[in-house]
Amino acid sequence: MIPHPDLETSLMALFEGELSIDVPATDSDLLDSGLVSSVTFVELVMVLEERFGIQIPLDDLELDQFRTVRRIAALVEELTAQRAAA
Amino acid sequence: MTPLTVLIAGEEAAGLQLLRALAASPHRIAGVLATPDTAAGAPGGQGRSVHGAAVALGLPTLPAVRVRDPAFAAEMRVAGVDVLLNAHSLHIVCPEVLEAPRFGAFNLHPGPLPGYAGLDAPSWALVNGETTHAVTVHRMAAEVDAGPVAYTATFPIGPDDTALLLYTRTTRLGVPLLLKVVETLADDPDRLPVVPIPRQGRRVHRRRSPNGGWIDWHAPAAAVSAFVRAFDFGPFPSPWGTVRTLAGGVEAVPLRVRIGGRGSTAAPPGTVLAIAGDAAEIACGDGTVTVASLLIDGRRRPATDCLRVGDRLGAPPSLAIPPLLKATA
Repeated sequence: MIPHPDLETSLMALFEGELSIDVPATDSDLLDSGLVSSVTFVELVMVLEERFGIQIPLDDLELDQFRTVRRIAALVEELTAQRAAA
Repeated sequence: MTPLTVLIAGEEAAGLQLLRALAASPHRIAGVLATPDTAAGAPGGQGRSVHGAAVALGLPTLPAVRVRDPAFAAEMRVAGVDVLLNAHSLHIVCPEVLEAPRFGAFNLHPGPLPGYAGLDAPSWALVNGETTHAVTVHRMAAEVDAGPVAYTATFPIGPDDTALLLYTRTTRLGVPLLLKVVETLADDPDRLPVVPIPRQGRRVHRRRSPNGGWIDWHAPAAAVSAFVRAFDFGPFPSPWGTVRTLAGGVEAVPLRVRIGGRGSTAAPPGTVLAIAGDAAEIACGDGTVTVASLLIDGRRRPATDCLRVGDRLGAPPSLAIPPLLKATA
């Protein structure tokens, strides 16, 4: 699934505004670069849930889904679609 | 509902979430005790810290260590603090400060009590093979993690759960419990549950990785898998460091360790039994585990590239690993 560009833009703003993390680009590696730490990861999960009204399935979570803003956008879009279909 | 005057002692995601929720509530935040950012950024990595968020909200900030100072109690009384909320701040709060707020102090503890007092409760729960875990909000007493419980949320531990996921769950479930304490105190303080914690079964855990991280291949496969997951913070540094094993005389970090399909084998524990698909299957004391890759000299290598059938993984001969991985204080 290719996420909507507006969603990626929203997420970039969320990183900058809510998490105070300057992400260079939507395909920047957030994990290997150290931009996201274990603390900010937990914060990110909670902020995404609150902002988009989704429940991130921790039981079935692949951290690779959080590797870039683009992948996070795809995850959010998928979870939002699942919620709408439910 | 009578809005309360709240003092927050917080760090990490739990402290941030608590701060944000209270800042958006009718309650008044008298101040925030938190570790200031260093030149390198927020404590624990990049991103906004509790201290930074408090400053951005225009709230008074205080050094986190003030909770150790008996003289701080008088300042809290002058400020009319109704309740002190502690979310992942690790300073030991002195008795005078605990008793200064009208309703006392409450702590978010990422584990069930009395069995998982102290530090790194999610990791210790995994090491001990627990099948459920909990987050507890309790009134703070002079003895660490010993005051009566107000609210608890319990959840199952899945077979592949890592320490990072348990930590995330305790934060997600725990912050609303702290907020529930505030709401209950504001509505009707007499309704707040006060459930004493029994002395029996109390264990206070320390930040000390069991076995120095060395995997005991003589343990059952389920225990080996749980031991590895207790150190697993995904791509992030674990407070316990890494697990370790010797592979061909070289120290290696096994990654993605799962319980294998075979039952008991005659092979000595630590023996590589098979290379199948993208993983190696290793004999344990009872059953097997699969290992997908190993970190050697900082490089991630597929297990299928660096292990051969018949290789033996183990710990240094000089290391005496206790027969059980049970965590103790």
